[in-house]
Amino acid sequence: MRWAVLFLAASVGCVNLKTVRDFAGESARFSAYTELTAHFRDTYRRERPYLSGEAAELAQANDRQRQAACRDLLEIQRALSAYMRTLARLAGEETFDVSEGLGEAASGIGAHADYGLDARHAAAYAGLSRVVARWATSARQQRAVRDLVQEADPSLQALLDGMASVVDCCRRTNENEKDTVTGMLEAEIAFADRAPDRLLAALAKAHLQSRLDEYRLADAMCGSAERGIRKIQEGHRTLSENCGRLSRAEVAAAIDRCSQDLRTIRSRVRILGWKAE
Amino acid sequence: MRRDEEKGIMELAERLTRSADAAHARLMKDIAAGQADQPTAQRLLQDELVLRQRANALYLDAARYARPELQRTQGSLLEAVDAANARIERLQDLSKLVDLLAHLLVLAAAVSTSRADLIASALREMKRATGETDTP
Repeated sequence: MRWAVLFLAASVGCVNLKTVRDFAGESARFSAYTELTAHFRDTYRRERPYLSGEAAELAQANDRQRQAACRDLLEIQRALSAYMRTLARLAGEETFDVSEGLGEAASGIGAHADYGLDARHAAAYAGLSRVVARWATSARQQRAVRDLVQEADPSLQALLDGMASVVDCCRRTNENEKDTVTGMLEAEIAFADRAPDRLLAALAKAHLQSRLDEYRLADAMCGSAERGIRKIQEGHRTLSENCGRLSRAEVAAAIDRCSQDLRTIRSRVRILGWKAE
Repeated sequence: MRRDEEKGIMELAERLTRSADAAHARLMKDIAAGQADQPTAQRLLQDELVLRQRANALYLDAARYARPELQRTQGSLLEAVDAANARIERLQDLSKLVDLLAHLLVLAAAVSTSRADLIASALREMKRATGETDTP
């Protein structure tokens, strides 16, 4: 009877923190924002050949501001990763594991034939004790995870809003860079097309096409960064609002979907093959 | 959610960008029609690229939540830029485009200083250029 009660106690309230671990792990690995910020930092290097006069001077001044700003902007990502790694660790399988100590206690029980206990009973007791201990420490772990998530959520949401704003600025600057480069090339090609020597016009058109492809890639990276940020916001908000209900299938499923979306975004960033120099 | 100051800066930057887009569209149309020679086209292109760099500076400021002084004058600034965009679409004469772009560039440069007196002066000149006041 005692064993049944212990087993029941062990089963009740077991919450799968794997969902939290997976989500925190994927969020910590989110890289699109960092890649995009590095690309944004290098704007002047790419647009410099197409600029002259006052536009070139302004671009250089912008570059100095941008280099300084990007140092701070990249720190934001480090803060996000550090928090998510902490959350993943807190929700980790090994974090509150006390099973090693229980193994020693079980062998200490030994086989007391005098009391009707033999090795089978000792092994069963050790197994059950591990489950109960895991449940007791699991409750502590769940509380720790809940407290961390609920305390951090407002700051995290604000941080991610800030990152979304930065991505928006990167996207618009990328648009202006594209229009600077393509605008200059289009205007000059229009005159080169009238010249008898066709080589310059042909080379310029090929170069224009190549640059347009690069800007499409950068725009796709902006999209991935934005979607990733929103998924992390959504997942963490769900976590924060449902910390006491993580055993419910629909809650776990919602967070698992965010993790899967983040995995998909990470794969897409890899496929884009885009590396900030 | 974006703070009001940042929203205002972004909106201004976006309108400067749209002005540059409109100027470029007009330039390409005139080049295609044979109404702009290469030196004139390069000068107009230079003005367009300066507008884009000014817009980029504002995007950078927005990313850093800077320039609180702009909030006070941003309503008038937005109206002035809108009026300039409308005029660019209506202009028949290329030389008037050159003149209007020059005013827009002065306004954008004034914005970058964040000085209310310079911005107000540039606004007055812009409004006069777009025919919004009776001042000769």
